[in-house]
Amino acid sequence: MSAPLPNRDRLATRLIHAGQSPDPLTGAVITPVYTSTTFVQDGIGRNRGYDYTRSGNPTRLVLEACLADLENAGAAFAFPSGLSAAATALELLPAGSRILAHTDVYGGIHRLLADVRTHTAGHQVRFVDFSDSAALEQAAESGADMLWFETPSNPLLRIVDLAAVAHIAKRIGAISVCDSTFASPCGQLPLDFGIDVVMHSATKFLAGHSDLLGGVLAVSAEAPEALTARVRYLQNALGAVMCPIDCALLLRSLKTLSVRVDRQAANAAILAQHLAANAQALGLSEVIYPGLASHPGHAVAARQMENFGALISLKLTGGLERVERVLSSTRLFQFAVSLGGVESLIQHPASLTHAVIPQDQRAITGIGDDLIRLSVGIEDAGDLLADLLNALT
Amino acid sequence: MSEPKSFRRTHLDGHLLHPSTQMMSYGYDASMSEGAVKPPVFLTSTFVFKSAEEGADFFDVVAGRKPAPQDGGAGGLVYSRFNHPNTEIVEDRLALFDGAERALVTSSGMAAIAAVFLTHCRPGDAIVHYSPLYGGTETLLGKVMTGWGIKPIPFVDGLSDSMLLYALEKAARHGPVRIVYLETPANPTNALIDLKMVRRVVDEWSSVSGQTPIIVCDNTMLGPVFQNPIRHGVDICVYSMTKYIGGHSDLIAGGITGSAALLKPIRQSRSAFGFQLDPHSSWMLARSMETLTLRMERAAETGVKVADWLASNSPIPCKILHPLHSKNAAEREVYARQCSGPGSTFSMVVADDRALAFRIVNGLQLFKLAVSLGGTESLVCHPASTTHSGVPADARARAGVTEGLIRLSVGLEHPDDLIADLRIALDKAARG
Repeated sequence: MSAPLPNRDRLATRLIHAGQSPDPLTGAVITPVYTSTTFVQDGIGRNRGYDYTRSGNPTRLVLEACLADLENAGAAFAFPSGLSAAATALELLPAGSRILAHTDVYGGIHRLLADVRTHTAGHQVRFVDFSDSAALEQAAESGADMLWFETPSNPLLRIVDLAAVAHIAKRIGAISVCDSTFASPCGQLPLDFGIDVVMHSATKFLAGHSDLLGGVLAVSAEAPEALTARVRYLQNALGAVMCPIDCALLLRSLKTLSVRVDRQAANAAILAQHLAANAQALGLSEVIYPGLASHPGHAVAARQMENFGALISLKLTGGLERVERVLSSTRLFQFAVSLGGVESLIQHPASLTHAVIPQDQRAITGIGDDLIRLSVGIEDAGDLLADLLNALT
Repeated sequence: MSEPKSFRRTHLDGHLLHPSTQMMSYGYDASMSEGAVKPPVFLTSTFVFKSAEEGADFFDVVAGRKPAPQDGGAGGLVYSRFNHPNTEIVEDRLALFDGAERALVTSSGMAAIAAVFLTHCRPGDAIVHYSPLYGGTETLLGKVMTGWGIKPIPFVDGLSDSMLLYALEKAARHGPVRIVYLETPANPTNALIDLKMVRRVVDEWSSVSGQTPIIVCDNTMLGPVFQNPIRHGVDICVYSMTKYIGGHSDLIAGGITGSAALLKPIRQSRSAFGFQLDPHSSWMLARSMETLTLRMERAAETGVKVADWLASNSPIPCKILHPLHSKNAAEREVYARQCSGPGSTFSMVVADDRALAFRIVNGLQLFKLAVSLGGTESLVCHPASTTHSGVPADARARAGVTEGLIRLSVGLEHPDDLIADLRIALDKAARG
């Protein structure tokens, strides 16, 4: 009988072992942190695989091997933030390229696309609702070089059909990039659906403790080899690399990703169901959670996701005054941006994460002043519910 | 007593918060640190006083000349050997989880145990202790403390009041009995000690002998999630926080929980000896404790699946030393009363044959062959040749630590993968 191959192991096992074998020199069970910036060369053109940490670092390489394994990717690359990963991915495109992007994206991505690269690279950026297949098909008719989307999207938790986007991208010859931050590899594996590149803000679920910034690009093994090689080249050329200490901390975080996300998604489902069932009494005009049967993307989510994630968005009645009162009166849900950590957070997209998006566009997308986004942590579900009910009533 | 500060809140209005919730926030006030959701790492050895008067006041507290303030804190920050914000966050959370008044964090589990012994024992005293204990503790008692003139007297049945009483009386003939030292479940046999019985026997003996030994329990294996010995009459708990609480095999730390009165002199010793934990490890521990409940619960669930599989499917006959596989009715009763989960460290015992045991452990691929336990990654070890090799052979035999005993620490991997790893290794070992 042959030994089990690492990539045949279940995700929970791969989170702990993929890419990580005990240190050959010392036997250390945990990957050493190589903070060294530079490596002694054995001779001209001869070294142990490393010369300078921007170009390659033993700790980062272990992390990247693990991340690639988790995403079923050909290769993965670790960046110092989600936005630096996104910025590097955009460098795949020559100046004047056409980008078709989802209307509902994180404000920072919107800024990068619409307010930075349009000027500096002359890209033509068009926004369309990727969760609306007909609209996406129609927009793709006129061609694009890159399709950029999130699913579930931020903050409206729209679900984009991964296979459908992959299909369109292949048909029109575009690179498809899915920001999978809201799902994590425990929630969905976009590359398995034919997407070319997965992006993460590793700051969120992957790190899970709200104590490091990071970004990831994972490139499909099915994508042309040139794409992987180019991302590797750009990571070094642009210099956006995660520092070794954060790489080690992120490896540590990954070991608990499955237990964290399982609990977070289970907690979110409990809260969403309770809030939806009592929406009127609690002064909620809408409860948005892909796990609810009423969510328009529920069927697609059920098909392509392992769970429905840990984000819930709420629309409140009672105006901005009530919104502010709720935001400032939860005690376990802390009023802070970011998401995916073990501690629950509550935030107000219109004034914070999505403030950079012009108000008229926010209005079209549905990011009003009445919208609150919850990131559900691993606390006891009963405690979280008590906190929300206290704040809402 | 004034209203507890919000960062030491235990309730939401009338609703009692669970420890699993509290591990994210208890003992830390974001508003004191720029609003940062996560505590900064205070890499500082010393703290500035606002005035000479304040410095004098803070010193009076850390030196034990004045009581600590009543809000649950340990007094003003002075010098990182005495007290430290990252350490205090961990201490607040550990005490809360363990149902104790106070907690102290130390640089290792052995430092915690040593601090307790060195604080509460004097030359000529005796310590009654359960056996088997973790090998390092056996060594400390049997080889180090004896050099200080402190006599260890073992007892080997944690369910029998007569054997404990016999040990107490035997110990008292050597000198004052200061400590009754326990570890339950035992490492590596998983035998249980009935803590309520120990409390009762010690109290009854105290009323006759006039001696009042402190009951100390090593709670590393199940605590603080599945067992809180203080609730069962134990005075002090000690921990290797390296194990489940640290949980990632990437730091060494220890902990002590108990009443403010008992821990106050131990705090003084910790400061005097320099057994404190460094700020970075303290910060890492706080990070670890956020996922403690999830990790211990998942590992325990997986451990039960692995133990059940071994019990009924192992190609090599073996006995499973897991709390849920105990054949002893009295032990099962103690488990039901005292523990809320079995943990994930247990042993399989094959024939008393080192070569066979080595073939099994050498054949494992996911289970890494290393000492320690309680990490996210599963580990396997052969106690007779490693962790317990310092224990005399007759004591090992008495405790059941045979050459055929293999200890497994089950981590967070998928149970099917761990079972496959065991199946492959056992099949191979069975073929010789």
